Amino acid sequence: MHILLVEDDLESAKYAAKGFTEAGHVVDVLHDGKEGMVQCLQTEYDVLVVDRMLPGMDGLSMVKALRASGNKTPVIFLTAVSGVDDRVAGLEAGGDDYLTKPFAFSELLARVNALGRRPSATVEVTNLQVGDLELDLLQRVARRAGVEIELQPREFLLLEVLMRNEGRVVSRTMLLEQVWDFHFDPKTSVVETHISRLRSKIDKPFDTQLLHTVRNLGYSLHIPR
Amino acid sequence: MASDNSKAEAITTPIPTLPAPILDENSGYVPPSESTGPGFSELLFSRGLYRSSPFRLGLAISAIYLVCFSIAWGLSYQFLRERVVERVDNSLTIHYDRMLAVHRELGNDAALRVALANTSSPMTDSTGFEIKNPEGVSILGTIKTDPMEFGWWTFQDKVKGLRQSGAVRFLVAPLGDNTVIIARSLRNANNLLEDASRGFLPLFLLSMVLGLLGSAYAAWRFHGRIDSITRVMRSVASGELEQRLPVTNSGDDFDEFSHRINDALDRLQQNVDGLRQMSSDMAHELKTPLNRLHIQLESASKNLYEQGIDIEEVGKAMDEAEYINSTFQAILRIAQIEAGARKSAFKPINLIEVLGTVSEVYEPVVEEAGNTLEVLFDPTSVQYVMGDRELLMQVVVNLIENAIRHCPEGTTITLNADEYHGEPWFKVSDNGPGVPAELRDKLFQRMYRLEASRTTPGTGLGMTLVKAVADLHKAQITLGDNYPGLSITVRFVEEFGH
Repeated sequence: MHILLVEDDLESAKYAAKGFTEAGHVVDVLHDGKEGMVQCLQTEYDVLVVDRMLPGMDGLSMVKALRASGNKTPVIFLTAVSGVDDRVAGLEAGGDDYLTKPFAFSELLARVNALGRRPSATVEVTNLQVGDLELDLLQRVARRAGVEIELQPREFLLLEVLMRNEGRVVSRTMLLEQVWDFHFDPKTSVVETHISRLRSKIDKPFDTQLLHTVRNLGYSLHIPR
Repeated sequence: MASDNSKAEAITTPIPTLPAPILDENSGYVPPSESTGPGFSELLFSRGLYRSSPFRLGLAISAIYLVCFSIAWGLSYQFLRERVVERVDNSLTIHYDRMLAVHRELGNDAALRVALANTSSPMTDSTGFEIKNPEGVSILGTIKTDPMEFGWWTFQDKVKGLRQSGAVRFLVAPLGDNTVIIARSLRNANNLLEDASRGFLPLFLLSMVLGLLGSAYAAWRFHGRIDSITRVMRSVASGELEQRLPVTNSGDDFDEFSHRINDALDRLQQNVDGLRQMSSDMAHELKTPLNRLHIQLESASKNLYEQGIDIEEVGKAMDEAEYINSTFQAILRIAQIEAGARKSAFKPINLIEVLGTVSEVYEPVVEEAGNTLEVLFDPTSVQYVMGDRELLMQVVVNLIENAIRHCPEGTTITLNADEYHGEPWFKVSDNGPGVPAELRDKLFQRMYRLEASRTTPGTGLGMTLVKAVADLHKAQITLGDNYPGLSITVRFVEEFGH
């Protein structure tokens, strides 16, 4: 993927750029909002990673201006302030995701991956499949090896998020946000508990394990490699 | 502060388990009064009028006015009366002097003749005379009087023959050997005084009524201004620091007062803005290095992991960095909530739906911890409050997570919600070890942690956040004994729609 990172803290930018490169992405780094804006108009990127506080032009204005010019490249905002209002402002300006500093780079990478490969909105997916695990989004039914699995509505949503991100790591916080709409960090093992419940339904009774835990990061659903 | 005592009292009050939360009237909550002041006519017939200080002042002034007026009227009445009698006396003296002059120059007989001539043409309706011989027998005259000593007299009915009745002024004096009595009715003079009084009384009453109406009007105006001040101060208290007291430019003492309060509010707003700016700057200045720290530790950990080395301290350092960050995050969040900035985004929120979502998410978590989550409310019911869904959700989550953290295995955590007299409430209770009554207040203190819970993880900010969110929603938190265990009730006292 071709990523543009607009971040004024050189240290963080350098580290993130290194991380993206190691993960196999091509990354351009800029430190100024205006430059970022100009660069976006010249080059087609897959994902923009934009800091909220930037010299020249702040991140919010930059993305607003980009959206106004018809640019639809997915944007993930980085910010030091984490109030709900700030998040809402970020999303309203045209951001697709929002990450509060400090963050683990793996978290940023997971989110960038999820955003960059988001299927185009025109294709309506009604059926998700990973190995012999099937999810019928219309009938709201999950099957594995032809056997119907009974899921609670929230478990269904959890599985859906994991299957849509097949092969990619979905972080704990991504799950909290997308499945439970929690935008704060619970102190108990909410995600772990629900994952373990889901696992007991979709993996335990079967030979091959599809739902994998990624150390210190999150979860990934894929056929064992 | 008085409310501190009453709060402590409310907390030690045993909480009835179900169905209603305790509703202690002494718990420090003052219901919001009418947001707009009463109209003048409403005020005029209300009890509030008699409690209003300008009206009371008006009444007092009217009373003083009444007393002064009465004294002044009494004195001037007396004075006028004296002047009237004096003039009557003058006219009587002139009559007498004439008679005396005739008597002196022409002798007794001539005087009697002149007098006799006068009897056929009486002086006026109100004046008359009589001449008595030394034996006191009436010789001639236009009137008949009872015997009187020499001198000036005023009698009511001692005379016959005067056309006018009522009080009469007499001059009894010698005329040679005889006695002459000249009388004049005071009726005309008295009528004058009465007329004056009669004219005065309505004027007096009118000015009394106007005075009272005037003070009622002053009371109403005063009330209006006090009311607008109260309204503004209430908004300020709820975080709208940009509100200012109205100034009428009439330069009265209210304006002076409002100016001073507004100056104080300006200062307060500057300070708060400064503080906000500082915390925002601080957030940025500290978060960037914190971010680098995180990044470097992560990088170190990854490199070591790839080389097959696992250093425990690196993991611990990352946990510490994470802890610093979450504490920092919580402080910023609480500051933001306490500043009241979120209030503008309030929407009607179904409390039951929030509790339902949280209970659904936490049921397995509670179970995993070896406890039970019991839901008592009707999940199909609705209880709307004006609020911020995310914050309310976090409050419920914090309360449940607190219960999980501080209760031993086998505890039942109960969630309940309903309304009481139109005020929605929800309650999170457990049958765990509970919190001693004297320590319950302290739970809301920043960074406070009970001795027993020092070893469990947590920043000590969870309950502070709960309190901040509750305050933002004008909700009242009551900590009570669940016999055994702790019960925490959050009651939304602000009317829906306000």
